[in-house]
Amino acid sequence: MAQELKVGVRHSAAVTVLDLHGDVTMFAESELTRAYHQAIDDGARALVLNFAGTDYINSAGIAIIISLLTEARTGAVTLVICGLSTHYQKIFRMVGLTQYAEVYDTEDLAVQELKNRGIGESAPV
Amino acid sequence: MPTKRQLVELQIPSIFGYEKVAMATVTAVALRVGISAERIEDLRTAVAEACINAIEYGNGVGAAAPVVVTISTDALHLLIDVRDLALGSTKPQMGKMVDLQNPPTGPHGNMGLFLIHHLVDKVHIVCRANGTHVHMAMRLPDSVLH
Repeated sequence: MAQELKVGVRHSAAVTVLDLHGDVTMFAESELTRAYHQAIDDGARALVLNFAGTDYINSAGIAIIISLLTEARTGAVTLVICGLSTHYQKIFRMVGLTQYAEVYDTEDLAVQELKNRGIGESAPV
Repeated sequence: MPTKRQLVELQIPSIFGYEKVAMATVTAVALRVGISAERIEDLRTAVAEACINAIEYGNGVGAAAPVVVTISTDALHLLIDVRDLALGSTKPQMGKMVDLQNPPTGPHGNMGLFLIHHLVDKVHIVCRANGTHVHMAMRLPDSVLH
């Protein structure tokens, strides 16, 4: 019944993109946090959460996104959001998430904005 | 009192994920009565949240306990009722907008009721010993009313 969430981790310019495919519900927590931590362990300082592959997000899923945002702020990681439908952009605004993460219509816009601000991967050691 | 006409009654098990069956049914009915695409999206999310609350809080995620979704119309509204059997020990509390300085507590940050109240035109919640009813109403478009 539920579409299990899968999160792919890839790099675009100096930014890491987490591609979400499936439902963002309470069952998404382990996969989302796994992917987030994988990206951080690989040196990511700027993350794009790409929701283009999702069409169902419920309040439990939003709570998981809030946890990621909180962790990102604590770790000085820039996290932005793209690919949300018009409806879910409205939902995210409604619950106040957009105060804490910028929302872009497309990945290209999100990545370009992060590049413009000079936010990207940590320098190689 | 406007005359209420019941169109559909649906029972889903208290298993997370089955709220999508209710969402699909409500979508089909809302399309038939002429509600706009944007408002249907709002209604789908509200129904999902009401069902999730019923599954988790109302029926304590006891799979055999049904969540009953009734879809009706009156002269002015599409009416969606979601009821559980009040088997759970707690009722969902209304959450509020996100504040990362004070992150939400509780499952889902209690955002379900917050979303329902902001997405449909009317909400009325009745808690009884034998069940909690969430009554939601979405106004029919003017083009349908006239």
